[in-house]
Amino acid sequence: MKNIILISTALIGMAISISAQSSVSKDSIRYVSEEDDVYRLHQEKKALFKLLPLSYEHKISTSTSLAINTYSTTIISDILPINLNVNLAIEGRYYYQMKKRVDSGIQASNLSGKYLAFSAFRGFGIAINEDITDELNAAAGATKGLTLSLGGQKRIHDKFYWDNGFLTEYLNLKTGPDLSGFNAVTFTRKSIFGIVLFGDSKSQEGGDFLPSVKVHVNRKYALRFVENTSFTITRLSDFENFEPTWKINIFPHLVSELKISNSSFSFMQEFQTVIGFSNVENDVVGSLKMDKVLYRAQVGIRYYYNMKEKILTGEGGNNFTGTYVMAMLSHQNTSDLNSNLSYIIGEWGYQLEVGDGFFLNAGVNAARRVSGVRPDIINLGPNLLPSGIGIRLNIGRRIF
Amino acid sequence: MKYIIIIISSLMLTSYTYGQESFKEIKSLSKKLDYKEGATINITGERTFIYISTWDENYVEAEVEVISRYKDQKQAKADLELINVIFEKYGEDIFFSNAIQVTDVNNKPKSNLKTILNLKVPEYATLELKNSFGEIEVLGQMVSVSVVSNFCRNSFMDYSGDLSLKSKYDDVSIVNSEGQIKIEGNRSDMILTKVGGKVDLGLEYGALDMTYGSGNFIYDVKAKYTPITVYLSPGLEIYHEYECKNCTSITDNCNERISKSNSKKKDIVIMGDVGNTSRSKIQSESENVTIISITQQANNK
Repeated sequence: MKNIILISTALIGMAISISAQSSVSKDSIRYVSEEDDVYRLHQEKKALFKLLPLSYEHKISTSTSLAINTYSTTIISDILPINLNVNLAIEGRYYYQMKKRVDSGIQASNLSGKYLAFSAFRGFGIAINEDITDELNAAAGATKGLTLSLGGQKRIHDKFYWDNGFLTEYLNLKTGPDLSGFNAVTFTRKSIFGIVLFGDSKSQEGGDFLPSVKVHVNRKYALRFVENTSFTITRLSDFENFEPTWKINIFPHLVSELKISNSSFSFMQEFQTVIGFSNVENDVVGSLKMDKVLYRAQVGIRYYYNMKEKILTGEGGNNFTGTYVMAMLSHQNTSDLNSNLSYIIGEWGYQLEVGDGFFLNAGVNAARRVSGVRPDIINLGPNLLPSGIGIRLNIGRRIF
Repeated sequence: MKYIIIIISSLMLTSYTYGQESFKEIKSLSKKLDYKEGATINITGERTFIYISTWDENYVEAEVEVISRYKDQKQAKADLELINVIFEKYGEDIFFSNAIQVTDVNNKPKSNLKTILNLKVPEYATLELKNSFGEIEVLGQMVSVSVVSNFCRNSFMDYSGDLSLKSKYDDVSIVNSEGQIKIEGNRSDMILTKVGGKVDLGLEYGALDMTYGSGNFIYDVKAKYTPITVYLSPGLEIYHEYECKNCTSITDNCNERISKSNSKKKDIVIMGDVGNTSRSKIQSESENVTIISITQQANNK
């Protein structure tokens, strides 16, 4: 008995001392970054009604959800007269890290996380082509298909979401009443920056509310690629067993931003291209060749006009987040080899860096053409008119 | 014998670990900036203990101490450097901030950090303050003070001027003060003692204790899920009239004339005095208003 008391006393003494030691270093405050705040990871969510594209997603267990989506697919083929299909899809998602993350307290049970999804869709029929008859038009668009996606969905503030990942789609499309048509398999990098119309919400100020202090990040340089859609690879095969055709489109879009000294000004460079490959040339199937290279290069100066005040009041760091005005020079080619165009662009917008990974950029701009002649074919962007107004809405992934 | 050794060893270990202190690193700043009437002194603090008083000079003086405490001295020093103290003039306005700024978001501080700011301002100063997890203490006469605070202990003593306070999870004490005062409280506990002037309170949760002063006052209190305790001085108890509904009242002067009101508000207290412009209207949802007569309390003892 004496032994037990002595050993217990020793153990209790050690336990007290260890707890005393840990209390020295423990901080009661949670330090949160912009990322923690923006992504709403600690907000529970059972359902989201999304716009662009129209979709309703509802949780059916901690890790799974069911969604009804409407979306359109655009397939442009030089030999097949199909342009647009509007589809209704039922999608099941499995958020494969959700349960583990919820159990370990990293996030609340919601619809933000990495997922594996499978969907089946059916076109309810819009096919546009002036060259085919009404009868063919009615039959056209009778699509059906399957998609398999590996991606990740994130909430961005209360009103936005970002769904990105890789998608493989099998499409079976009937283009006529005689059941002629084709199959298409497309592998693409999808990136959807959409709006949350509504969803059930639970206040963050519940019992598990933690006091937190915001950590601001300072930046001097950022190179990012904009990833609205970065590539598509499509294989088309005709029902009548013609040789399959391939189309590959790559959309590299890079933006670099360099702070001028430590001021609120930054130097912008933007380079946007469309590089297309096809194995169809003059309606003849051959080997895969590059069939178009379009580019737009822009340089300009941005001024974040609230930045200094935000730094002084501690509401923000010296970085690339804030409301800005920008002046840019833009130069681009067109599919008409003899026509290159130059513009002066003024833009007003807002940019938000989320954590150390992503930039959300929204803005409105006005452009005025200063050189070049507008070609008949419009291939790249809305700025081919002598002057015009455009909208910038994109997500950029930070490279460094 | 071996048991004695065990006991001595464990006691030594205990005393060793108790004796192991955290390291404290401090950096200081002292600065004076000219102040022009009408300009704003803008203070944004996190884990900041802000002490503001007035003086006869026409400039603002700030004495700042940033303290980092951690068991590893190197880490404490490194975390201290993450606090970016700014006390600058931008246009006519003066800004103070001590935000935590990093170049890599993973490099968040591990130490216990706090900043102490002693600020002396002219009497004609206008201040805007934001603070979290600290303290605000204001003393003296100013044109106006606007405060947004979370998890703070806020104290206004002998304050004169306009005050706007948005408070969350705070402990607030306003004593011997007067002016146009507007407070929005959420889960904050408030103590108002002898506060005169026009006072508008909109409170949710938390608690409110009030003791009226002898000067003129106009109170408009709207509270939800907030227990309210009103302490009445002997003078007020005699010269004021009370209309109460569902009050827990110790005073004999409470007139329950409006107890049949169909209002959804559970408790309504209106105090008025014919010979004095002072009045106080309290509307409370879901929690009781308790009126305690100081005389009655004294008699009961």
